[in-house]
Amino acid sequence: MKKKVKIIFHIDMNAFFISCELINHPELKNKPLAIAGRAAIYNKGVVVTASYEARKFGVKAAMPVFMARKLCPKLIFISSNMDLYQEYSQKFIDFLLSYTPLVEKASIDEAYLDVTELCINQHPLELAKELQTKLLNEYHLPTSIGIATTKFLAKMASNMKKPLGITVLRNKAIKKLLWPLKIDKMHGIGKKTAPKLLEKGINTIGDLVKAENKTALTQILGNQYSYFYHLALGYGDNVVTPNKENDYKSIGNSTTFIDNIIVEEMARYELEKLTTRVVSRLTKSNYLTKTISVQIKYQNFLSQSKSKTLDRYVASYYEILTIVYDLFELLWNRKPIRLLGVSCSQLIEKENYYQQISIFDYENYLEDEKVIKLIHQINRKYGKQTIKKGLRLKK
Amino acid sequence: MKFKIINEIFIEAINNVNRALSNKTPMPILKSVKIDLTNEGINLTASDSNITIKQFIPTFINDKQIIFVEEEGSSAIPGKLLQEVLRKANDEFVELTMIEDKLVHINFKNAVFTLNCLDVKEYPNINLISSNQPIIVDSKKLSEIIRQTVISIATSESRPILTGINFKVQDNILYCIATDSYRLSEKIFKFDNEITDINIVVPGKSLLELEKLIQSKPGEIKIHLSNNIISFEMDNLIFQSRLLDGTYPETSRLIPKEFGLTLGFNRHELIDIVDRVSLLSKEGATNIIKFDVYEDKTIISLESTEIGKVVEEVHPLSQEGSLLRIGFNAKYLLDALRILDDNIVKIMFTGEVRPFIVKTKDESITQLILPVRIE
Repeated sequence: MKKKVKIIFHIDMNAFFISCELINHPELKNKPLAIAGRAAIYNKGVVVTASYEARKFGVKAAMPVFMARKLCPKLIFISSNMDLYQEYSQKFIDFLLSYTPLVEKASIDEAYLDVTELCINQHPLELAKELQTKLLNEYHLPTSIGIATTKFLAKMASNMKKPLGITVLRNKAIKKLLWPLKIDKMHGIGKKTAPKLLEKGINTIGDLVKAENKTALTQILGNQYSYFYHLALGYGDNVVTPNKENDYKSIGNSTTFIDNIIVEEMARYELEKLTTRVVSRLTKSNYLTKTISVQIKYQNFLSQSKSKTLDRYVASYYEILTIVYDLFELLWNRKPIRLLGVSCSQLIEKENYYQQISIFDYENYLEDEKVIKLIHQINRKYGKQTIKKGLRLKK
Repeated sequence: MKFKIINEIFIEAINNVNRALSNKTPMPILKSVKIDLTNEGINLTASDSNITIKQFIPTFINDKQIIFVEEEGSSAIPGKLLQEVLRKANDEFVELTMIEDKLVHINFKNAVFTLNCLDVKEYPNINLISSNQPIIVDSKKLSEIIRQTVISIATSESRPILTGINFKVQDNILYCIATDSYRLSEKIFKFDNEITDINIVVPGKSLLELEKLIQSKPGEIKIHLSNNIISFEMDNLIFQSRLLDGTYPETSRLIPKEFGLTLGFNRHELIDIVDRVSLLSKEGATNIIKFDVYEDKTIISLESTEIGKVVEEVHPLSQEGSLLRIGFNAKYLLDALRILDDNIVKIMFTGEVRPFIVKTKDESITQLILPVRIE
């Protein structure tokens, strides 16, 4: 079988958190904005991300708030709102899924698409333009799209022109477009590795493939050497794994407090908020959970957690909250709390879960029996899933 | 204490009593086997405070001398270790010599093991109960009763009473019931003689150990009962267990008497099919198979969005009643099918969300399973 060349898109949402905020606050458009934690009003914390207007002043992600203020006194700080970003991220993925099921969510603001099939009838550039325009006009989400034959190359390509760029990185053009890039621009080479490589005179991605650098590279990258070597040559992973976004191992949220919590009511109030967030994410992604955990980090950064595994799957807010309170009660040593976390693991998709009837409750379901019989009869006659119970319908 | 004994007989007895030992015990001394030696023989005792097993080895069996007693006495020897040493012994005889209640020498052929022991005086006094009118059962029957019901005991401790098997005698009929609330096993046994009514719950774990013990021992078993203890007595062997505290749920009206659909299968064939279909199940909640009953065939299937799906068509040996579509945990059906004995098995349904039962021509055993909601 001949190996077919694939066409992979990497779609990256430009200043995604900022875009989300602008949807709700259009009056802030074209102003220097930065997203930071709630501690920003105390001049504490770090910048999560900054708008392009703020970036012009040199404001960057991970920069301390006070330094950003110094660089750009007119900078407007917005406290981060993860729920909102999650929501738009989901809308983004859903939009892509309306084109092809081959969508892999790589992080909250980026995704890979395998458009090989789609591009039989449409030119890749045209398709990219269409996606980009629709995302901007209908969802107010500016994006950059990279088009290439592997995920790595597509990712590198989307990075080349921002915002609102579309870049094609052909394998033939690797030498010209990819190799001159500085080594720290290579996806996968982190802040710790890059300086080591620079020290050895490996300055660009092109240096990675030079034979004379092999010894030095093997020393620094270890068994990863061959992986990066092949990436730089244009060989690499081109399999877009569709359900990756659904493959949660656990769903959890945590909050770090500016002032340590010492009052139990306060802790309970925060646990309630965290549980609300976790349960809403659980419900949104159609999951049920079996194991619930609570985490406490104390002043001295000592972290402890406790969990409980149930004998059945649940997704009910009150049920989970009761367990969260119980776990907290068992876990807390009455010392000031710096961080609280709530998480659910052992997840199962609702679709794969069938409610087990027990000898103690089966009588409650008897009144449904006639309806169930009817559903089965109709489905048998007119085909599977012709009708379903209202509750199971997906929005 | 000093004696020599035929190892083959000693190790068998140690294997028996060691079933009561547990690694998790609040009292370190309970990791030991207690040995009481007199000129008549050896009494071995092991206990985890819930289960106690006691065995007597007589000095002579059929005029053959088994034990050569040099000095009577008692000792407490680490049970698991003693068992391992005896298992590795390469001689017909082993000799045990106690040194000042603290050390034991175990000699055989050219080897000497010296094990540290705890003081036997620390060993708790375990009362063995006895009654004048024990209930008498055949060991093979008791083994069958346990085997056919113990599959349904609850493994989680969320309702502790359900981790046991309910033994209820009423009008000289014994009803044994186990349920984890999603399935239920009921075994009925008629006594030939007059028995007083009882209603007790015996820990499933105890009965599993008892079953292993009596499996290959034909004979009569005397059952003694006290307030919170049950004891099973065989030749030279006593197995005693604590009872579970609490009221067992009333389940007698659960087992349906009338059925909307009855299917007959070859038991081995059905085991193979269900086993094959549940290949695609993950441990846990996705182990759900569906039975789609049509006039001329039944479709058994399993579907998991993560893994994939499997469909198998089967033609029941017999079919009577209205068509149905039902889903349930494959493990429950497999467990039930495997502990039944006959070649032909009948599955009798009452409705989509009602319990169904699995039966053979042996009327004494009923396996009941609750479905899941699949619509």
